Amino acid sequence: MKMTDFVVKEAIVPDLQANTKEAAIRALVDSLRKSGSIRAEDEQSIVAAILKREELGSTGIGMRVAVPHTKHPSVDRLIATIALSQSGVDFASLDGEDVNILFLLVSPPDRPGDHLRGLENISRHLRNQNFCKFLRQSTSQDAIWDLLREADNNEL
Amino acid sequence: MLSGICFAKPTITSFRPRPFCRSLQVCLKAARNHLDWNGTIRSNRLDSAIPMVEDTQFRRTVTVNLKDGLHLRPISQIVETVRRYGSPVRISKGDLSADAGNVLDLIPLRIEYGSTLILEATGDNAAEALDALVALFESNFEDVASPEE
Repeated sequence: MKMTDFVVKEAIVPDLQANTKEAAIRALVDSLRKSGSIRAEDEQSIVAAILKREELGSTGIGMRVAVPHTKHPSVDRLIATIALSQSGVDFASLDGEDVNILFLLVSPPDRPGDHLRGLENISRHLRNQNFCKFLRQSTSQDAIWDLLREADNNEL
Repeated sequence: MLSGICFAKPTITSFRPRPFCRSLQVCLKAARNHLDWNGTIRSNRLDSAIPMVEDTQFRRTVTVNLKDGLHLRPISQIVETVRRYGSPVRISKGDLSADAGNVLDLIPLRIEYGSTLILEATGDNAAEALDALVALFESNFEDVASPEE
């Protein structure tokens, strides 16, 4: 599995303006809707499911990264988007730091393996300091997409 | 005497023993087996026969009973526990090992139902940290037994 297989380029938010967890999640799901990856009628339900998951424990996993996610029957394959925040978002992270890299994932409930493989894939790349550094420096969808392709091809 | 090398009579105190360090006991036994009462080397296998004293103070083995394996929520609970005690902990699955205080390190281990894990802790609160982690596994992570939403 490659990041470019499940990240939706058109939904990438290179300059997230939200500074709260809920606003950030709403902005990312809205971006997925605008890209045509989810239907408008499912948007609120997906937001609610992600916020419910956050109540069980923050997906702010430390190192200024958050991976909000949910399983939702409205999607038939794993989809994801990325947001970068210059100012940082308070995500109640494990290490208490605001996050500036967000990966939001939505996956079908009947394919839990895809969900886990997506998280594994993202984690593997986020452990690469070059990937994180270049991602934080990216300012456009194209730049982020090129970086994902380089990471997928182990060129970092 | 071998090659003119002679040691003083070996004493326990010269090794600065630490409690519960089985590696140190192995080391001492190996050293005694290769020195006569005057501390003279009996064999030429001294270096290879004495293992390095590891810095691991405590080690426990657990089995994963979560049906879906360790997904993000139980992993986060592990990380929170490790950070609460402040002692470095490593989790090993087969040949793979990860920092138990780092979510990004743990996720790629792909810890599934039935996996046997070795937990190794060092530092002042190592025993307490491992007790808390073992309790997490034994309780099946309590409220996360159901599949992650």
